[in-house]
Amino acid sequence: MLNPSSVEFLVLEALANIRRNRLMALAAVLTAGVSLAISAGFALTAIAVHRACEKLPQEFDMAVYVRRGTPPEQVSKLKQTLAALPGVASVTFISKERGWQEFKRSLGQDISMDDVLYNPALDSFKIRMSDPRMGRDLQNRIRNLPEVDDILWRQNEVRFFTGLARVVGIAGAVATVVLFLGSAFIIGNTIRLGIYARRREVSIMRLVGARPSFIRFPFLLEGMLLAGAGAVLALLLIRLAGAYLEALTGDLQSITRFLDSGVAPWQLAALLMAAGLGLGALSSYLSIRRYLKEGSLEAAAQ
Amino acid sequence: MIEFRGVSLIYPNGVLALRGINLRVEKGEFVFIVGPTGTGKSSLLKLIYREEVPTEGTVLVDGQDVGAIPEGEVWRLRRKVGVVFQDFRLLPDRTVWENIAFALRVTGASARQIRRRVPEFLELVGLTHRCDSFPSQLSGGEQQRTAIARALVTDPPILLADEPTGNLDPDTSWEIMQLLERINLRGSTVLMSTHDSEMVNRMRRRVVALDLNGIARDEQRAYYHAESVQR
Repeated sequence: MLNPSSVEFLVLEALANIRRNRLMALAAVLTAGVSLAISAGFALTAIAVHRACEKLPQEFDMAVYVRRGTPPEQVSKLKQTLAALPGVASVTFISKERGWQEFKRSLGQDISMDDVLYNPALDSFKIRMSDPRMGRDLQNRIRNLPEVDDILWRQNEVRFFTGLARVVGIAGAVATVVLFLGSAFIIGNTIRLGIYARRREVSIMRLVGARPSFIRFPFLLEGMLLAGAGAVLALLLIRLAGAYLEALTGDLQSITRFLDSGVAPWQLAALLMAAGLGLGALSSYLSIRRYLKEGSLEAAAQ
Repeated sequence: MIEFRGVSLIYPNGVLALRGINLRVEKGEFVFIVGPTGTGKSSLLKLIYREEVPTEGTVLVDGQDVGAIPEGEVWRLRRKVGVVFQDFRLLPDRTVWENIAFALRVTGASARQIRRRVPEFLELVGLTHRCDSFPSQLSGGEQQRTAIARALVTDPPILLADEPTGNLDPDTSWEIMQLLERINLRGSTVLMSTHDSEMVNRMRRRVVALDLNGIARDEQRAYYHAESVQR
């Protein structure tokens, strides 16, 4: 439908728009860049914290103590039973001798247990869970096994962190959406100013019978170019912030590794670019649509 | 070509612009719309190119009910109707050539069509030698010629001129008048609203006179004032 000279005209119009409103365009790129960076940065942090909160309870192992006097064959059978339960990632056997040694070592040198002549420890299993949220069910099942004496598990801490993960996830999603809408509003306003600056052209286009899609196109392109440039800027800002954080934490690899969002750089770039282009197209579409509905042909007279 | 059937127009602010208009304009006609300020000359033209929608009655252009055209389809009507205004409405940062080419570009013409048609219409309005000038470098008459070329370059069968000579001196007005007549002779239907009694009297064309009650007079080969006939 569009011939090459029309495409050329539309692209040149969009570029001319940007050139004519250089300052406004710059302001739009900066605001889009900063708000995209903030919203993406917030999203990344929220994802990282969310992941951390989900990961943390996995570090809390469940300790299962075996009833005293259980024969060794039954102990090894118990190990198989435990390993087969849902939500169990791995099971490690800790003999009562090793348990006793570890206990004594944990007390340090101040308190000596050398006078205690018999070993009060029990054989035990250390259970690592694949999903800490299933911990309660698991605990109940294990408790009913006849060979089990007691279970030790930090249930409250787990509940706290899984709850925190949910809150951070929801808050992060909401904040990201709000910031995104804020950028959409700012870009939409820039486009609206651009439309206002070109109201003569627009009203003459309408007067001589240009299709609405044809009138819209340069503004859509302009919005996408501005927001796309904003996305590139946002990416730079995030990389800078990332590099700064890395320098700040230095060898505290435990922190950086722990607070990993798991989003690859290329994914972040693609997401930001998609968000930017979508943002630009959406906000300019809404602005121009409203103007084309309300705008009068009289604008050319001003 | 154009037909008004019992058309009234009341603006949202309550102003009654037109009342009970019945009018029929055939293909190839030249019609003056005259009348005192506020009797709805401009409003009548606006109803034809769908800048306004009648409050009552129907306006037909080429057999189509203009008021019933959906918003997204109005552009098809606008391609049938060229419009020029008293204040020219040229784009100040584009040359004469670009102003005329603009109408072609935004209606999707090819580069070849533009190269062919723009010089043709520059010649029609006698501005070939000024094609690289900007509107600010032109006289009022030259600006109006540019506007006329822009309105016609897309080949609309109808030309509406809303007081096209209102800002021009008598000699220049007469030149524009002659240009519009030549355009009419090429086959365009021309409707022109005006206050210029001398020009209307000189032309002796169909005159539709409006007053606050609607159409006061509709006569062929007429004068600006009814009483002029007796003179």
